[in-house]
Order: sequence, then C-alpha cells, then structure tokens
Amino acid sequence: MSRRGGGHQVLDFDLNLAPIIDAFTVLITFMLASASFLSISIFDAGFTPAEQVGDPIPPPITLTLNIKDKAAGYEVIVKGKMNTTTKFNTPEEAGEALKQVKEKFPEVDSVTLTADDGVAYEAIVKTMEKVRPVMPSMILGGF
Amino acid sequence: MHVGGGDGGGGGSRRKGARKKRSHGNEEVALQITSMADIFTILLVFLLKSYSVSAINVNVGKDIHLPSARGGTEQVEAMKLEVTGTTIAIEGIAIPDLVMDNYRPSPRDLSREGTIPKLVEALGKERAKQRALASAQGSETEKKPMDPKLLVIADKQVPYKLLKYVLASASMQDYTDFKLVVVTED
Repeated sequence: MSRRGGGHQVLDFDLNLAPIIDAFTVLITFMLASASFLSISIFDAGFTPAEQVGDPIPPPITLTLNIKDKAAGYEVIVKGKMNTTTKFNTPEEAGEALKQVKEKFPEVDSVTLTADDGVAYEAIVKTMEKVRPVMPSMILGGF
Repeated sequence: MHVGGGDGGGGGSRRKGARKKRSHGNEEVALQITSMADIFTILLVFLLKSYSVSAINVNVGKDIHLPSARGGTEQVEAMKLEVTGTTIAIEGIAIPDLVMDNYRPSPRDLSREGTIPKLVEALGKERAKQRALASAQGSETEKKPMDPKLLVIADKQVPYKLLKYVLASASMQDYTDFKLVVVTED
C-alpha cells in the first residue's frame, strides 16, 4: 500500500495470472474437443403422395433433369404444353435452362431428378446443390 | 521503491505478471504470462464460435463417407436408413441376411417391382412399432398419419441403381419424404 500526498490512498495490486492461465487451459482443451469443423445438413428429396394433397391441379408441364453416366452430361426434359429434350455439359447450364422454363411457366415449382444406373450418389447430390438455387423443390424419381 | 529486498543480480523492479526462474548459472528468466493470456483469450474466442450443440444426433458409421455439399437445411428428427457398400441398416441395425457385394445386392434379394423385399419387411416392422406406440398413446395420436420422413445416410459411391431400390422399398411403407444427409464444411 502506498500513500500519496493529500491523504489519498492508492491500492497497488499484482494480478496473479497463473489461475487464469489454468482456467483457460482447461476451457480451451474442452472447446477443442467439442469444436465442429464439419456439420451435417439435409437435402429434401421427397414427394407427397397425391391422396394426401387432395385433388391437385396438374401443372402445365413436368420437368425432369436426367444425369447421364460416365460424365456424358445432363438432359432437361420438358413434357406437357412444351415438349423438348435438351442436353448440357454442366449442371450450371442445366440450371440456367430450368430457370428459363420457370420464367415461362411460373406455376411450375419442382423438378424430378433422375439418373442413369451407374451414376454415383455424390454426383446426384452435387447436381442438387447446383440446381437448388433455381429449383428448391427437387424430387428423386425413376423408380 | 523495491519490493522484497535486494535481488542480487539485476536490481530492477519486479514486472507485473512475470515469474522468476533460477537457472544453474544464477540467471533470472522472467516468463511472460501476460502474452500467454492474450493468446489463450484469442484461442478461446475462436473456439467458442466453433462450439456447437445440437439436440439431434446423427451417428454416421465408419464405413460411410458422406457426400459434401452446401446449402442444406438443418437436421430433423426422423428414422435413419444407412446404405453402405455391404449392408443396409435401419437405426444402426443391419438388415439380417441382406449382404451386398460392392454396392450390388444379390439378384435373389431383388423383386420384379424394383424393391428389396427384406428391406420392405424391416421397414414394415418399424411402421408396426410406430402404430403400436401411437395406439398406446390414445385415439387422437392414432388418427394422425404416420411420419413419412426418412433420413437417408448413404455412402457417396452408392450407385443410383441401388438408391432407386432402397427408395422404392421405403415408399412401399409410406416413407416418401426423403432427407438426404450431406456434410457441409464450416
């Protein structure tokens, strides 16, 4: 304790950092063990049976995105009021085509995703990831 | 003002947060704990940000390498169906007598309708359990439709042919809302 002139008392103290370091070491060890650098998320790929929906009005067109095997590209198949089959090399191009169709037919809000038998699950998920911003509702089909 | 008498060597004032060590050569080394406290604070803040708690626990088997993708939604609570190169499991329990060889089920395990009868049977048993539970909880619960959600935890190399068989089998037991589990890097 030191004194200064005028009757004021100034308290000096030394902050003991050792217990703080101990507490930090334990906390950091715990947090490192529980930290997650990968998380699990979900892609919706389901369909609602017609009897649950009631009596739905069929959309003017049906959209199908087919993934070809052995990197042979992608097909966008449109059936209904418009009948076309267009091939693309990348999922981004296919997504762009789907976007154009959706602009023409705004009431269409889902696309059926199919693939050749040998296409890996990873390729399907990657395609869903690319197309999702354009068509959030994707249904797995072909079975 | 000196604290604690003469120091015998340097004669300087004692620094805050420093400790003294004596080496063999009678030299004093001050360990700077203040810097360590700074580093630990920054590390702790970063790890607090990465800390995550989720009430829903999805345990992925060691044989499964999930595909990675961005833009997925949050986990939901649903029945889990795992598909690997050799087995198909429901809630972690492999379907007995259903063994696959490198993602190919045996032809005798496949039906003409494009389903896997053993899987349909196993899912049917799960549905029966759910119905029994619903009826035990009362007539109000029994009247509600069964949950159509199904978490599909599949290895990234599963071919679409196998996936079609699995999903077709699931749809036979009214599992129509498929939730594909993917890994997202933070």
